[in-house]
Amino acid sequence: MKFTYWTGLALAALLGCAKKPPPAPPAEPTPPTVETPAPMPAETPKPDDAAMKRERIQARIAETFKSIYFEYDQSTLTAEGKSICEAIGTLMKEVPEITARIEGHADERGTNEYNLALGERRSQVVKQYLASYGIEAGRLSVISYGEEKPAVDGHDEASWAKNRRAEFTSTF
Amino acid sequence: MANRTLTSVRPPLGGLLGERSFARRVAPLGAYRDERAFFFAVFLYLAPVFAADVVITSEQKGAEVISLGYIEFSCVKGDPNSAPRSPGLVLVDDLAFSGHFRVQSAAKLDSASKAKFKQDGALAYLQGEYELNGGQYELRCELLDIDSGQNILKKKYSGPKEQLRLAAHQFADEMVSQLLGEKGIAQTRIVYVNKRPGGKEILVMDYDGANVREVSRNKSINLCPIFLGAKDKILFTSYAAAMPQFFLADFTAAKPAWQVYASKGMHSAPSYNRMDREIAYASTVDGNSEIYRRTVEGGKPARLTFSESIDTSPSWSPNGYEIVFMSDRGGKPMLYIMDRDGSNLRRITYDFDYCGSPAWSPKGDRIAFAAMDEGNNFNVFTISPDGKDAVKLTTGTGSNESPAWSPDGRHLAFMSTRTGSPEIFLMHVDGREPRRITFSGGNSMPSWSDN
Repeated sequence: MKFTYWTGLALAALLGCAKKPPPAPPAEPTPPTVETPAPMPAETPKPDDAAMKRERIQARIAETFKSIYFEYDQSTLTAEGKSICEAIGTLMKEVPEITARIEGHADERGTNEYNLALGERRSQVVKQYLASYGIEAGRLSVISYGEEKPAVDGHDEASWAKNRRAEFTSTF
Repeated sequence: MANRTLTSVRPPLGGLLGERSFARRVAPLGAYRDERAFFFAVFLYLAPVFAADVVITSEQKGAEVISLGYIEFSCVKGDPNSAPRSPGLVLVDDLAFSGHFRVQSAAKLDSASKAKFKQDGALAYLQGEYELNGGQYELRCELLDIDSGQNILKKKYSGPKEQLRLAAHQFADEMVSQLLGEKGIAQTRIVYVNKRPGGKEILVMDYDGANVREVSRNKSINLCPIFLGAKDKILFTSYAAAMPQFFLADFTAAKPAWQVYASKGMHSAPSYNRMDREIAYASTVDGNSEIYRRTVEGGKPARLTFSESIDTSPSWSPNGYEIVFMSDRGGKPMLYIMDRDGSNLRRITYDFDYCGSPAWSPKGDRIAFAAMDEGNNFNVFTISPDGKDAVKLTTGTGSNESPAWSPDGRHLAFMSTRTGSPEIFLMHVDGREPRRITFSGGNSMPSWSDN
């Protein structure tokens, strides 16, 4: 594999610089979320039915794509984690248009570097479980945030337990 | 007549190093505190013209802390309050922190201050003055023999006013170079991560915490910054391009430029090998976090670890032959060393529940790391590369993590939560005199530039 790189305006805009700030640094790219309503087809015979169906699926997505929690320094799925994965797998099989990004997170204990790898491992475990459930790998992507994006800010076991997690961002 | 004199490594310095002055200097040996200091002095005299060739062994280094007098620098033109700190005090801070010097201050040179200096064993004293003219400064610094009043070192600097501190740093490094024959660290920088609303950005500051500048400003998450040799090239991991990739910020040109090293997977924890211009780093390009190395210019990455465990945080030995890294392949996160091709793997830590963030010292004789040894808190340790002789450098409240070596191997920067929010601290290599250098909160992952 070769190193590729680009320089220039696009990048300057992304990164900004100390001496000359870029016009408007764009926010971190975020994939569309479940809340985003899809554009309505122009000439649908029964617009209300299609819209209602979408709404029903979006409601199911919202209640199915729950965060999965892990034990300290572990990336094995708990029984609860497996049942969340299975519900997600069932829904993704039923609605093939759904794709998902799996975000792995760690609590603040341990080094930042190790936690990046631990978050990656957690997201990979979830991806593999869904793949073994029959979901095509192309519909699943992974990213780790390590300890950099905690769900809650506390420094106790209750907070850490909420931060050791895999979260989903689904697109439909 | 001076029977104890501070000499300089580098002739010519006003004829101080002539044959006759050497004879004078060697004669009164008894005046030196011990034999090591004597060897030191003779060695300095015998040193060739190029200070870069001078080698002082570790026994000789630190054998003596040189005592100096300091006469407060005066502002002879312009408003002294228009400079945030007197360049004399910036210089004294540098000298005191270097570990080579002990400084006594006085308002002016008279018999009382001279006596005070000499009582502390001072052989020389510093004096200087500066001017502030509009946007410009001029700084004149002198190091003088306390008995003869002769110049040992004399320098004049001028430039834009905001660079006055830099001039003081430059004189501190001149002194270390001339008197000890090694490169000082007063002009070095530290790059680090700063948490702020909307993300984590990369900042760079002078090693003493002054002159903070932004490296990134993308409102994303930016981590793991290191200098690529030069003080103006900074490599770091950024989430600005959706997947965490390496970005290289280059401030060497008039117009700063950024490159993205785009590749599959997450790239993090880089370490620079200046001998071969390579980086070692962790990547998930093959699914799991493994260690790779590649040249800075590009080329095919070589995969060095093949384990289902987490392998990350590589740090090069200074000769570029070996890499220390962190792995949980033995059950717990521990430190391992491998050769540059991944062979000859051996584990070097067995104690504690968690060891990470290894950093190989510039001299090669120690590895700094952070270990979880007090509940969930970390402390900074150093250990010999053979796994023996672990020394704990930090204690007390809070967590102490992410050690980074100064280029002279005499100091460590690290992150500590001892005052609440994470801040960057410096300390001597034996843990003495921890000194906080950031105050804004949310500062972590320091890395020190070359000198």
